[in-house]
Amino acid sequence: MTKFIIRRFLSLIPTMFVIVTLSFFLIRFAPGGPFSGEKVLPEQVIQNLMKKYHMDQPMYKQYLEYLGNVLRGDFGPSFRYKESTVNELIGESFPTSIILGSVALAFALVAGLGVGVGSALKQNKWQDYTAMSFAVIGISVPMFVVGPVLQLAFAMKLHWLPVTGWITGRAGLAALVLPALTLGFPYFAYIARLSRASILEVLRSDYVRTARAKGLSERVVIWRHVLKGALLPVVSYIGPAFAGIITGSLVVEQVFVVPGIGQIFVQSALNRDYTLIMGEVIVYSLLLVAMNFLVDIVYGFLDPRIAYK
Amino acid sequence: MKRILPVLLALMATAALLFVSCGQGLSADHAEFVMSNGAEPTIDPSLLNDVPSTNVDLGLFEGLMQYDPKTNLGVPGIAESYTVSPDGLTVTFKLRNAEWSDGHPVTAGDFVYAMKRILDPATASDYAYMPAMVIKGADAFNSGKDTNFDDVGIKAIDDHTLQYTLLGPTPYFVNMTTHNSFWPLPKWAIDKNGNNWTKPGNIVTDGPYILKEWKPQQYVFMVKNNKYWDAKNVHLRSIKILSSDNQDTNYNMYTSGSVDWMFGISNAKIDQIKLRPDYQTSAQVATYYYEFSVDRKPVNNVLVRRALAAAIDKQTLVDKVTKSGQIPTNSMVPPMAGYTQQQGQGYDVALAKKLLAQAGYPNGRGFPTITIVYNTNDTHKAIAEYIQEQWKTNLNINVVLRNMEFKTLIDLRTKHDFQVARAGWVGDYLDPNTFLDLFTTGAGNNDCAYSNPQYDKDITQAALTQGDARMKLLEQAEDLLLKDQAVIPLYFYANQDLIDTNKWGGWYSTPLGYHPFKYIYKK
Amino acid sequence: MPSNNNQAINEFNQQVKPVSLWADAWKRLRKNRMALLGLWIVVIMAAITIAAPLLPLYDYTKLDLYHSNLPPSFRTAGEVALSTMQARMDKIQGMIDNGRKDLQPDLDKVKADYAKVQADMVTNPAEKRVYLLGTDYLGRDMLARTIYGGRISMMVGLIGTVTAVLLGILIGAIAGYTGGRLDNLLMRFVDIMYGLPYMLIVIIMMSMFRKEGASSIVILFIAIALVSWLDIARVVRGQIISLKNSEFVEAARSMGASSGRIIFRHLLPNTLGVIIIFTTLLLPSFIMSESFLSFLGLGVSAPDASWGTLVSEGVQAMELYPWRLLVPAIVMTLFLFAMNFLGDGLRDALDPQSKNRA
Repeated sequence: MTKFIIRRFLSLIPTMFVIVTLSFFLIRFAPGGPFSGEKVLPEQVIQNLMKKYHMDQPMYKQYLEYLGNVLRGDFGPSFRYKESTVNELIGESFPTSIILGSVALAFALVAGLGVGVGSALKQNKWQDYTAMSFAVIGISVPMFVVGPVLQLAFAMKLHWLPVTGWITGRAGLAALVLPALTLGFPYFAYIARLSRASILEVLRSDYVRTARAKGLSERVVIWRHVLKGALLPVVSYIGPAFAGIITGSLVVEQVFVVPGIGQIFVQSALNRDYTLIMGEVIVYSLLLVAMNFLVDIVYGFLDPRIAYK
Repeated sequence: MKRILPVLLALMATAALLFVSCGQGLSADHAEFVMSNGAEPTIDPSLLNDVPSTNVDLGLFEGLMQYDPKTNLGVPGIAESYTVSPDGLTVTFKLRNAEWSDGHPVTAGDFVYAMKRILDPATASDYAYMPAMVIKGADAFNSGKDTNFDDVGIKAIDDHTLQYTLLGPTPYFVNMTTHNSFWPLPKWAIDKNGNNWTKPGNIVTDGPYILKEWKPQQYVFMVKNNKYWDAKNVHLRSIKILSSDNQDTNYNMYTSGSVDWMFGISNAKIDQIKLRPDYQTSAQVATYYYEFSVDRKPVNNVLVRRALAAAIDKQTLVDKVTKSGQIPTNSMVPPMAGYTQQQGQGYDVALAKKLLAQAGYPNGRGFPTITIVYNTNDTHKAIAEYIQEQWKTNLNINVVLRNMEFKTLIDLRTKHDFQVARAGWVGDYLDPNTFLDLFTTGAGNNDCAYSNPQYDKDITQAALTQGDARMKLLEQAEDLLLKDQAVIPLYFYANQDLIDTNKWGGWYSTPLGYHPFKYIYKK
Repeated sequence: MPSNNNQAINEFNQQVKPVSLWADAWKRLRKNRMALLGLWIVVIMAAITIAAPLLPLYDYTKLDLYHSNLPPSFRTAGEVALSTMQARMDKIQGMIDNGRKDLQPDLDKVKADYAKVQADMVTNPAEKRVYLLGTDYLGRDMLARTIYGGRISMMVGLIGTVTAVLLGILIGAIAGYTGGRLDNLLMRFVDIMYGLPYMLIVIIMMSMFRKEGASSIVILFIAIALVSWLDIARVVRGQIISLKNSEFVEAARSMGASSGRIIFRHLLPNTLGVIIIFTTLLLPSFIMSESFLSFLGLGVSAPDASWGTLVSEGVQAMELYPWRLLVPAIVMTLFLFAMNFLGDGLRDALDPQSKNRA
């Protein structure tokens, strides 16, 4: 097991290296560059800009320089946010996204698992149909509809919650509710559907039948055996989902004006802010490979049938 | 499961605590005037190149001239008065006794320093081209061809006298000094804090407000600068500028009372919003137009281009599609004092058909399918759909629409790799030249690849001429551009703002869309 | 009965028809009412969109600016337009009476439109149209737009799902079953695919393929297929790993079954439930990702529409013209509901544990 963990951990390094290298060269193929805009700049201004950002160097030199800086933890200056470094930009927006993402994910996990287990135990009864219909809505209706609808209903019509929170800074916790609900809703629905399906699967499996045959109480069977086995697909989904939810969502952040990392994620790509894109790619990939690494290890604990050789 | 749950709960609790503590930090209610702005990427006047940043900086800095709140023309700011030499080549400003927010006097040297900084190739300023365009020697210094700054036409005669030497008689030069590329900068503060000089606490400004807080992507908070030379006429105690891009959210914040002024209205709501008493609209010095890549078939034929131009009913376009006070136009240059707009091809279906037939495509027969490219946006889309329908109905030709993200469109446009493209141009200063010099042969913004020697000659000549003769030359050029139909002007943009002018005074609808905070007061 | 020679015989020496997995599943699916309802809805909706050109619909690209934003109604377009304009005139007149003299030009404009439509009522056949589900911002029929919008959306959903399932199962199963170095390699490849900046890749693909003259629909499908299988591969791999050491697999292995046979005959059928659920979960995300990709210029070009683009247009207008959001959103959700119940039914029907249990 320890050996597996070490080997698995070491494989993260080449993965990250490939992602960084590929991204570095790929993004430079996108049409337009960081300096193009509605008003085309005079040639000499572009020359000056290229020089300032070391883009006049040959590509491999830029790459090596970048790699060296990244290893030292320096992501470089942003092209668009001219007085800020990528480290500052990510450092300022990432905590916000972590807060929002954690709350959204906690809601999604607790509600999703609860609803999933409940539905599975009441399979094909009205509770099941209601819960699953709700989940289907959660999956089918995109965030760019859910967000504005919640805002219209709860902020504009009912006045229960503020329109936006972070930006005016007055609302405190209440401001977190609508964005977290919007962000967590599809994840909730996913988890509910997945856990229901896998619980149904496990309920019919041999080891649960054995457990039941041994005369264990239904509660013990469900808590000890069913849930454990049923969590597997949810866990393999959670890995990428966690990385996704933590790195935020453009839609939620724009609708509720949350100063998170999701907005700069999309904006940096549209602005061709090379260094900022790279910073984002690295943060997201690190999160993702780390989560998948954890997921693989959690697997071993959740499922005694998995043997690591 | 047993182990996960407590961890999650702990995480949630921490998150909540963190959030509450953030919340308390910002909760003091000190904003007197709140506006919603797009996200401002920078505050440094030498580096900014976008509207939201300009809005912020108009509260913090002031140049020789400042924007008049009604006309947006230059009125004296740090400069008390100015004189222009008879040949129009030398402009001398007399500075008033003004102070920076840290008590340093504002001197002519601060302007010279700022000019050197913006032109310095190492600064790599986008807007270096503004001074480079008009000031003698500035272009050479910016390109690194001449490293001696003494050759640049700016000179501090003494602390209160600043002299510019220009390339040609430039009647709009004095107005131009309202622009951020001409503002003074505090050398000592920049030397001390380097790239961080614009952070709150470090920044030193000469405008009506000082920066108190700056949270990128959240808000800018500024309070009245008591050292400002005209502080007695500054009314608002503080201003909060929110970095929110979403028009629908901005509108929701506005109607729920947490924002006092917003600009930009989602087209989907215009029918309702335009009846509001606090909806302000006015013509902007900006043109929305379609451009042709004039070497591409079939639009390389001027008859085809004119036929296409004549087949668009622009009045209906602004009445029924854009619906928010835009002004339909057949001219490229918006109305300006002393200038007579040239009239291009108007709506005339019979003529359009005739021209297309002359070009060899009677009733659209044999005309290849052409493509309109535009950047993804609901208004651009509706306009393109409307024009597609117009050309289909009036000329019986097929048009394909293709949307893309902005930088991809820009890339196609600069490579002239399109047939018809959507474009817009906002005047940099109040003069026809800003709309016309972009179509000279080989100019960076000449997406059309338009080239007419006479046109180039007129524009070059105009730069060396003064008064009415100069305007005549510019008019002649616009006439050529429209006759060649390299572009189809569609309408002049309209400013769209929501602000209750019964509550706030000193705010007016303006042609350039600048609203200096200095003049705004609560009624 | 000589023709019965090949038929199977059960333990009571009675002849029975051999039951394949699929025939058996179909039999059980037919018994599941919700699933059957789902199946019917999907089939009917697909039939309508395919047969759309044959249906008596108005041209979904034809604009009529006097008919913009009309609410759903059984009355003719002219009547609806007149009553909407009348309501607006009354509203503006009321405001003018309350001192808003500045609105006079707005009132005059509506009055002129009113007169124009009124004069047209008799002569213009367009005024006789009936927009059952209302119109959009350029006066186009929402019914026709929603039906035609279904074409691209369903196709995207279908293609995305098929590639996701095929690629995902293949790679997930191989990685999970073989384990070791290959598993590590494949899963790190999946990590890399997740990590690369997707949006820029799509932008690059678009500008590259556009030069080759490929249609943007094809690029859209490639763009979706590129990342669609990642989630499912991870999930399938996880399932396979947890099953590959169970008794029935050991049994098959000891009987000399090949790896391929073990994977396809023994392991995959046991993970089918999760695969199907995951597929029905992915379907909506493909349909919506089309509307995101259409921002970048992939997918339908205006004036064509998809459910995704219709919904996103409708959101901004939801307060004033709710039908512009509700019509496409409800139709899309109905389709996804149906797919979902169908998926649930399929899962139950294909469940190997309940095989031969009719």
